[in-house]
Amino acid sequence: MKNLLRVSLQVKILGLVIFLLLLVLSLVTIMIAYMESNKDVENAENMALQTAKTVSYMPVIQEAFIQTSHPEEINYVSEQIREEVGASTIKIVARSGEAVGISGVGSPIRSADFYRAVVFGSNYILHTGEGDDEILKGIAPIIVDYGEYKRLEGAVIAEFQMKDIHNEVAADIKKIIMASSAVFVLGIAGSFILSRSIRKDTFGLEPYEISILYQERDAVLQSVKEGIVAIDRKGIITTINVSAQELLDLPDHSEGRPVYDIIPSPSFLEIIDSREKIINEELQFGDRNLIVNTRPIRKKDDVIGTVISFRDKTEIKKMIEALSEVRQYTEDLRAQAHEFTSKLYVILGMIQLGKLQEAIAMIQEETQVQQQVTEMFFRNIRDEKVQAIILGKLAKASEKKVDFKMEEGSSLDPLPDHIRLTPLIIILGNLINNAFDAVMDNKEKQVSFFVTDLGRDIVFEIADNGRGLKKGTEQHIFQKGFSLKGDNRGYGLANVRDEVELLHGTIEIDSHEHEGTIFTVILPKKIE
Amino acid sequence: MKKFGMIAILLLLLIMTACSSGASSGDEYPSKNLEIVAPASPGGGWDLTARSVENVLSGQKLVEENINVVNKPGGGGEVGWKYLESKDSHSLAINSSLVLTNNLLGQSEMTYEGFTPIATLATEWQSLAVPPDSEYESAKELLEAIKEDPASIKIGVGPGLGNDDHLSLVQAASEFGIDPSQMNFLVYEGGGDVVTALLGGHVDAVTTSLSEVKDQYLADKLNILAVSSDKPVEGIEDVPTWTDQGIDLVFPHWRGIMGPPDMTEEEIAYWDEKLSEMVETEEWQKVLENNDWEGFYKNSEETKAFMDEQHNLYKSLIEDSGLVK
Repeated sequence: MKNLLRVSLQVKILGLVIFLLLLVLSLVTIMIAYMESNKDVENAENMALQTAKTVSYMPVIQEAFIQTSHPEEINYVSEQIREEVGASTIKIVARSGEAVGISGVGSPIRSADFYRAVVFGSNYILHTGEGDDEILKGIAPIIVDYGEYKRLEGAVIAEFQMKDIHNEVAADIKKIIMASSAVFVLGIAGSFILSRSIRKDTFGLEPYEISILYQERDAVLQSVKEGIVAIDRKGIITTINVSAQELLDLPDHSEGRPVYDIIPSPSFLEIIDSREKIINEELQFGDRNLIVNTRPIRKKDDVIGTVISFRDKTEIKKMIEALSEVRQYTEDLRAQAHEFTSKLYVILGMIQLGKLQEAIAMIQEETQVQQQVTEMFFRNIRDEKVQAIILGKLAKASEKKVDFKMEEGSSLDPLPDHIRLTPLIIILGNLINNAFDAVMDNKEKQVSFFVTDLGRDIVFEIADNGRGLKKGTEQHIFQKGFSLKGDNRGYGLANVRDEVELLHGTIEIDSHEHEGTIFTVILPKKIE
Repeated sequence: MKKFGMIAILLLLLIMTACSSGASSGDEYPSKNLEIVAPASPGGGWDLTARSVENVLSGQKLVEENINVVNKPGGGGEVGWKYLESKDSHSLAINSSLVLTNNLLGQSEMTYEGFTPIATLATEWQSLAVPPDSEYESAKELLEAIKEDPASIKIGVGPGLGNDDHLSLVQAASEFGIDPSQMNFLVYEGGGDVVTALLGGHVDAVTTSLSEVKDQYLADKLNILAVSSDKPVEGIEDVPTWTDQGIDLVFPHWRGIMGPPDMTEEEIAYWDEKLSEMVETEEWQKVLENNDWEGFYKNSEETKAFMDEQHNLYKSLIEDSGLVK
């Protein structure tokens, strides 16, 4: 059924127009024909009655009755009138039923026809006969004025053939049908032109194709991760996608409302109001950092609207951090591989020099160190993600000559599924790196790592004996842009805090100047 | 969409208030001045009837509202009745058999069914009169002569053919087996002219209202051969009715009163009450006496039946060819 209705626009318009035209035209034709034929019959009736009356008033006829003579003149005059009005017969009869004058086709005189005229002086119409023989009779009394009194002397009967009248009606109807056919043809031509013009306007697309396009456009818009808002010249939102709603914390159905009412940020509105093309403007919106692009929609010289698109800069930062973190690991592992290679060269050299005892001693020492490290770290830590992160950091520590140790009593079973690798990299990677950086200037470079998953929470603890934080700065270190390491940094701890919060955990800091810092991260095993 | 809803509700409210106000005004009839239409010029029978009704109703305080008599002459009642058609139920009009015959004779499109019958009030009787020296002593003798040679007897009638004067004699003649179309009617301007013509010897007989000839009869200036009443008329008991002479004809020349179309039952009941009271008053009896009318009161329902009956009578009289009988 749906496929049946999905016909081309041209067919649809044409079909509708033909249907409507046929309906309207046939109704109008029938109505006009009906009225016309009624009018024709009525006209004929009036004509018949009028003719009879006119003849009855003619002086020549009145005279004839007064003189009781039947001059030839009566026939002559009535014949003239008969021809003029197209009657078939005009009869002038006396009260007795005697014919005083007859013109036209002869027909029997029936006294019943003119009874009412000669007795009561009525004027009236009669229809006699059937079908083609139907005759319309207009009957009028002849009232002769004798001065003191009047007397009814006879009647005039004007007869018309209904056949003639019907022919006239048929001719009229034919004309009406011709006219409506012409209108019909014109209407079809018009609908052709209309459908063509519509197709031209829609680039030859059928309506259903347009609706598919529209739906596609909407789907594309909604699937984009960038927030997109379009407003018209009055600042009414015409289009908004899901990402924009989320980024701007807007309620649903913001379309159709003025942008000034629902966006609380003056700086954002300022950008919208500027009506200029703006690229990659950064602005703070709540606790989000947005990168905004705007593009005015112009029609000739007028700005008729603006399209605003924006991304969350925090998110972009986070991605970059995560990427650099991962790259760090490959670096770290390569450093470790490099260290081993050099050690192998040392052992090779010893063997070549025949210092086998020293070589064996060195291998044993290395093995012991490795085993110690491996055992120490991995006997108790059975989560592969944490293992991988720690392994990378171990390599880095050995390269930086940092004494990176695992605290006694650490233990960790495989982490629950909701704690994924990326947040772990961000949290642990940042904290351990910061610890390494903090001890860089010390003679004794000690960093320790402690983890436990006893109880309902997983607790990570990263401690260093570095320079520590000045009193009062603990509060600021999680803010964006706070860094002890120079400009354009300081997103590390902010990101750490974001990720911890996403996992519904908490982060604590315990720092004493010149003594060191301890970061404690507590993540719940289950998110409620 | 919401706007359309509002408009629809407003319209509905308007209609409802219009309806309720219409209903409330119908409760107390009559709510304003009343009007009686006399469809003729002042001085005629219709005018006299209208003014008499007004006099008695107001004079006896039967109706408290003012009653105005309005004259609307023309077209044998047509003008006045057409006027009534457009009025509300506070207007009434006097009528007579012309309200039936105008249509039957092809002179009017209006029918009696287009109005609300209120009452029949009074009637006159028709008479057939001859000069005192006429050779015809009875109606039967006259009809015999007409049957013999219709053209030889000149009969005066006025003011037009098809009125009750004319129809009553046509009916009598038909009953007697005469072809009405052959009868020799001379048409005069009015009832008075007809009597003058008779007294002047211009016609052999006249058919006219009894009131036109009663005084002349009592003065022995003419002879009345028949009256169309069902029983002898008071004052001239020696004049025989048509039925007395073996011709089955009772022909009232009645006058009544009617209202515009679609009057409510309450309004009809109001007039039934007031008019039935009116015809009982002494004043109305005096009116009847002074005008030689006879009380002929019928209430709305009876009048409706009477009109139907009269309509059928006139219809057969006018449309059936006399030759067929």
